[in-house]
Order: sequence, then C-alpha cells, then structure tokens
Amino acid sequence: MEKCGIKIINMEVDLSKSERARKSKFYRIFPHTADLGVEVYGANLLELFEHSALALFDLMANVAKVTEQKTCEFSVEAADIELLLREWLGELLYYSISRHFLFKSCQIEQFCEQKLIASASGEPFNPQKHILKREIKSVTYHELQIKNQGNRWKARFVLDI
Amino acid sequence: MEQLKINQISEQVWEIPPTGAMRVPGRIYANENLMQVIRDDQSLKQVANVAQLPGIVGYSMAMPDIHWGYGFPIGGVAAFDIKEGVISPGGVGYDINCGVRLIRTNLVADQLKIDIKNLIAAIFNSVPSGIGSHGAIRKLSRSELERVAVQGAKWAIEMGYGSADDLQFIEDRGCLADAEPSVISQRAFERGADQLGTLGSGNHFIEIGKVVDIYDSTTAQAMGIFQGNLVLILHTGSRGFGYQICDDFIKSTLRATQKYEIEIPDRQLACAPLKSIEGQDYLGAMRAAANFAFANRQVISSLIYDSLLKTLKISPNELGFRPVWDIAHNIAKIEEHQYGGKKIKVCVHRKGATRAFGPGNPELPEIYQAIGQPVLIPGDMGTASYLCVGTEIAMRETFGSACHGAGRILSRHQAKAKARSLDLYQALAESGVYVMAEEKGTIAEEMPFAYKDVGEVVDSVDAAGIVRKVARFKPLGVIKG
Repeated sequence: MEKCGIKIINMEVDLSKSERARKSKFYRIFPHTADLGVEVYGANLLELFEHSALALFDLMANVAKVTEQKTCEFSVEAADIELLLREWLGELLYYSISRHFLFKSCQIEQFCEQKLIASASGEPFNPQKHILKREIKSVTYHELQIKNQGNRWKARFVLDI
Repeated sequence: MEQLKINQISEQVWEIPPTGAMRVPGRIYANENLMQVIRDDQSLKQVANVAQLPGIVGYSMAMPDIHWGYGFPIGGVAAFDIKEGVISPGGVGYDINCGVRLIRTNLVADQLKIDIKNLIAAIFNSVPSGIGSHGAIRKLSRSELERVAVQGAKWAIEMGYGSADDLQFIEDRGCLADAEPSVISQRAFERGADQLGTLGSGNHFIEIGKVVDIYDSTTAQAMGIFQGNLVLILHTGSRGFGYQICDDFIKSTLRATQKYEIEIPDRQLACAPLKSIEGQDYLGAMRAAANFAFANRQVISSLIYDSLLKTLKISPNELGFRPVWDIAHNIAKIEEHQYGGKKIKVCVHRKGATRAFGPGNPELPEIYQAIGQPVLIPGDMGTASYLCVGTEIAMRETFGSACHGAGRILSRHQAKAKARSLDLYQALAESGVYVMAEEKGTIAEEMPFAYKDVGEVVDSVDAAGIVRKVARFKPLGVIKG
C-alpha cells in the first residue's frame, strides 16, 4: 500500500458480499471485563475496514431489520492505519448516535494508509421496527491493533459500553 | 502476559515493585481472596502502565474493585505533580463525572402504603432511560448548554429542579470552577443537547433501597439515615456530552504525547503535561462535562422527587427528600494534600474510584465536618450497597480516595451468556428485588454473578482504614437503563 496522493486504491464492494460477510464469522467478541473487545477478520485491508464497520453496525442494532434508504458520505484521515480504523469507526458511531440513524452496509471508495473515502447506507432509527442492542459510548484506542496473518488480516479494538 | 512481581505489604495492601519504565511502585488495596481474582484479570498490568507516566506521585494505586478497563484500570487512583505531571483523558474515562447520589427520605420502607412496583413504575415513566435516551427536558441551545457547563447543579436549581439547599450535599457544591466551554466541539454540544435529565444505559440505574444494617448510629444519624429507612440511589454521568469530550481530547492529547515526547505503553494512556495548553484545555473541557453530570443528577433527582410526591400523595415534609451526598467517581481534580511531610498540589485522577475525604476537611459542609465525607459504594442490583465515610488514613495513604463499587468479574458478554438459561426477572424477584428496564440485555449484563462480592470489597477498604462503614442498604426496586 502506498501513501495517499501517490496511489489511491479504487475498489467496489458489492452488497451481496457484505451480506455474505454478515452471515459468516467475520468478527468475534473477545472477553474484556468492563467493555466490549472486538476482533475482525478480512482477506485484505480494505475488507478488514469494511468488516469492522459491519461488526459495529451489528453490535449496535438488529441490522437485518434496517433498510438502505439513505447513503451518507465519509472522509476520514489519520496518522497511521490503526488510527485510521478508529477514526472510521468513530465517525460512523458519531453519525449514528447524533442523528439517531442505523447503518446496514458500507462501501469504501478510496483507501490508503492515512485516508479513506467511503459511503454507508441505512435508515433513521424507528423504535417500532428496530431493536438497539447496547449503548456504545466510544471506540477506544486501548490495544488497538491491525495485523497481517499471512493469508488474512486481523483487527482488534475495544468499544466502551 | 509477563508475570508481575507482587509483594504483600500488610493484610490489605499489596505492592508491585517498580520495574522497567515504572517511575513509582503500584499499590493495590485488597484482601487475599480478592487479590486472587484480581491476579486473573489484566488490570495489574494497567496499574504498572500508569506508574510509567511522568510526574506520578507516590504510587499508582488500585482499590479492591479494580478490573480491566481501557488504558487506566477501573478502580485506579493516580496523583500527578502539577508542575512535572500529566493529565490523561483516558485516566478519567468517557463518562466524565459518572457518579452516584444517595437520597434520604423520612419514609420507613416496611410502612409504605403502596406497592414498590408502583413507585418504580412512576419513576420509570418520569426519567427517560435506555440507549440514547433523550427528551427529559426541552432540547437545549448551545448557549444554554454553555451555562450548564459553567454552573453545573446550580443551573438546574435556577431552572426549578430541586432546592438551593441541595448544593451543600454535592461534591464541590455541584460545580467545578474554571470550566471552559469555548474549547468544546460542536459535536459534544450536539450530543448533549437533548440528554440532560436522562439516565442512559449500561450500568446506570435508579434504586429504591432499605437500610438493613447500621454500623455507626451517630454517623448515620448525622446523615439522616435510620434503620428500616427508605433511600434512593441514582447512578449516571455526563451522557453523550462527556463521551464526545473524552473522544475529542484523547485525539488531541495523542498529538501532545508525541509533541512532548512522552513514552506511553498504550495509546489509551495519551496524556499532556498539566501546564501545557493541551493539558489545560482538556482540564477546562473535563470540568464542563463534570458540571453537565452534576446538573444531570440534579434534574433527575428532582424528577424522582416529583414522581414520589405525586404517587405517594404526601407532603414534602412527610417525604423529607434530600441528598445525603452526590459523588463523582470518574474525574481528575487539582487538590492539595500532605505528602512526605509537606503540602503539595496534585492532579488526582480517580477512574472508577471515589473521593473519601476525612473529618475536618475544609471541602466538606458544616454538617459533615466531624464525621468525614459520605462515601457511597453501590453493589450489584441484587445484593446490597454500603454507606461509609472517608478517614484520616485515606488522606495519608490514598490522596483521600476509596473504591466506587463491587467491581466486575465477568465481562458483559460472559454475563449475558451465563444469564441465557435464567429467568432474570424471576431470579431477582426471588431475592426481593423488583426490576424495570428499557432493555432486557442490560439486566443480564448487570446480574449479581457478574460482580465481586460487594460486602467483601467494602470490608477490605474498611479493614485497610481508608473508609469506615456506616450503613448497608438492600435493594427493593431497580430501574435499569
């Protein structure tokens, strides 16, 4: 991967793939006494970032009941790849909480180590239809980690709940 | 995880001798049994990590309710020299000034004329609770929120929530001076705009309890507490306003950590020198969030008061409703302490720890001068809560600090898994506790088996001498967020 401004990776992530990811075990919870530890897997960095967002959506609400009525654009920058992941998740969480909005899917449009441009789709929270699973206060920096494990990538982050 | 060396200093005190980058030893207050549980957690490593931060004075301390948090352990106390030391947003936590308020009444629990379920339902209907709860009072504009951020509980009283007499029973009279709203992001104001007067979710609760044991009747009497007394406990904090402020300032202090070349073993320990502009900005913003939390508990307390009067159909004099004490247990404060034979000024971080000032402290109101500061240690929702007072020993050993609760042993996820086979409402009803919750999930996460034995935790701090037990309450009814 190269720095932004030199080469931008363009990649389409089709929604059927997101759906498949949702059904497979693309993330797991690891025990953390006070908070929620999340471990996410992806075939490449881009998929890892997409799966991390899907894991966040899934931990917030019953995503199966969320429809993609509106798409929001996100542009996130950070000093390194791990901080970029936290910023990406932090932006999604902030939008979701401040607008009372639930996401179902996302598409990363441009991606490099320090910058990401993406869109995410969902609909406003409707108490008649949606079930919120937990209040997530923030995506913490505690033991934030991205690792290449040969044929796959792994991310770990802790959500404050 | 590398094994840390731990030496037992006395029956209730353990020490991690400094190794590697640790600047001071770690100190843990716990009995042997609790220490065995603590050893299984990753929190001792976090005690050692905090000991590495610049300007730490004395020890990186932990109370017996310590458990694995993010960055700083929960149940941690660390004081930093104001000239050489740092301030860390992660050392306060996301829920800035999360705290508890104990409220006394004139009522005798067993003589209530109505079912406890009706009282719980009335409070449940008047205080918005649950995930992202909002709408207790009208949405506040930025300029109104700035007033809340500067004035704290006093703002709520001016708006008609409670009485001016309440202020003397709140830590710092419900207002930290020198709050600085101008350094707070628009995002924080947005998140706080409709959340004042709301309980939130997670471990936040309102509990109606009954005094079942009095250990020191003179002290209990001074606080207006008697055997069989009906009391209320309210646990909440600064809601989205505080969460966003913490989030924003971890980001800026991470940059400061690099700028001032501070070595940290975990990014969540991001910190800035106290005297730096970044450190001062965070201090100002954190005080604003703390004031929001004081106002929040004041508004909720007033909503509870109104619903009790209406439901019980009695006069204010018959109800006798007033705060016993309102404490912050996620906060950093500039305090003066005696240390090493001289007076020093330090920034005391209490993350999941309670201030526990001893008798005669000028910070305490007149009526508590002789007995010391009330310290409320809530347990899990099925067991018990304790009222204690701070001591001289706490002033000498722990910068006037003690534990804040029972302390988790199971993660929320593990608690939920364990609860799957149980009828939770039934299990709690059998132990005499009626529970109402916005979401059933939070009940599972907060079941008694997810926590250490609060009685043992309190006995440990009492035996160490950093608090003195005054009374014990049993929960009768609980509202969970």
